[in-house]
Amino acid sequence: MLLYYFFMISIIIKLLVVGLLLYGNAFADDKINRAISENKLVVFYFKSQFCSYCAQVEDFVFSDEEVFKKLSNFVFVELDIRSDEGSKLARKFGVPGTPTVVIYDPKTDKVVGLIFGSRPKEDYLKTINKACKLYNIKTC
Amino acid sequence: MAIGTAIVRVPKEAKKGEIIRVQMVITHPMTPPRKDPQTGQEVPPHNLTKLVLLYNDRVVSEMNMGAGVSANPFIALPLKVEESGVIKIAYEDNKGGKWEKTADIKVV
Amino acid sequence: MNRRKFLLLSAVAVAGLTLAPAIKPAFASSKLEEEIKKRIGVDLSAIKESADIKLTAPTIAESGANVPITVESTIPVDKVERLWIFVDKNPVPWIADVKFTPENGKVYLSTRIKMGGTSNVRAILQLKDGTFVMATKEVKVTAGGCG
Repeated sequence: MLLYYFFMISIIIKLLVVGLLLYGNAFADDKINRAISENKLVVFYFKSQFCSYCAQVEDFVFSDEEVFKKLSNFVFVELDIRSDEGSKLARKFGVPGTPTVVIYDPKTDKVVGLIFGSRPKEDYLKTINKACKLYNIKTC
Repeated sequence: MAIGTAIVRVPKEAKKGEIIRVQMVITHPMTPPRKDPQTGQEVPPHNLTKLVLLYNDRVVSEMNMGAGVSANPFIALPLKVEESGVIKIAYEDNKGGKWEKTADIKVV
Repeated sequence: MNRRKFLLLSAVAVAGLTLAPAIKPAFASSKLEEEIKKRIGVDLSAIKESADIKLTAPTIAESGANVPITVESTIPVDKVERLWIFVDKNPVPWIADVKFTPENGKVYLSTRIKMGGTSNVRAILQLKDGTFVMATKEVKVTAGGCG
């Protein structure tokens, strides 16, 4: 009897682990799929806990009226660089650390722009505007 | 540490009439009003708004602050001690948080 | 009115209208000036720099999120009403203000502030007699990241 319960519990645990593994990578994938269907580029924002430079960018760059408005033309994905998904994508894009913003074309699987560090908003706008111009995003 | 916990550092002893430095570090995110590009929403600020320095229940100094002060703020203020007693800081944030922390000092 | 005068007047009017946009910025106040006016009730132009107040801040700050500043003054604390800290170019220039009493012993504040980018930091001391003194320091904020 005990053996039976033990067997059932181990099956359930295995299913949970597989489910988590599959689901664990779903967040960014979902967003990438959404971007493809909406004809948008993706902006990945790689951050890490306790990094004051990330706080700097969140306080002063993303919260800036102009930057925020331009970013609404993209599908924005925030990732912890130490998470499974985050570290995998960070490796794929060659992300040097945090904060890093990667502008990505999901249809061609190409990086359109990359900015690392707590730069002034003008630097961010320059990279964003370049992507907007390249892809002819009218509202940007 | 939990939001609102503070470390207060003062000398254990001081001479009568000496001006000591009250140093404090308070755990608090001090986030300014933000716009979150992932949700497209505005995120309201969460910051300390006021800190009062008291000595033996007398108000010595009051500091008003906003999210322009760094996260987990470090603040140091001067205090002239004439007698032994209790140094207290009473501080609050914009979400109803209210805290106090004390430290004793002996004046010789 | 004769035709010559009319032409002269219209020429002046046209010149005035085209020059007006160039003159306007001189009268428009910056965000800093507006903030100072709103919080202290005084014009920035009425506040003079003084060696009686000392502001210590790094010339170059690597982390804009944590810029250490220290303010001290030789002015006796019982003559002092309040100390104000501003960062010119922050979205909200006002950072903090501190009310001093004689029991403080002296004017002193040390703390860490956030700066959105390279900017002046200002320490303004409001005195009980209604006058003000100020110290200004430019802090260059460079880019940084975590490895």
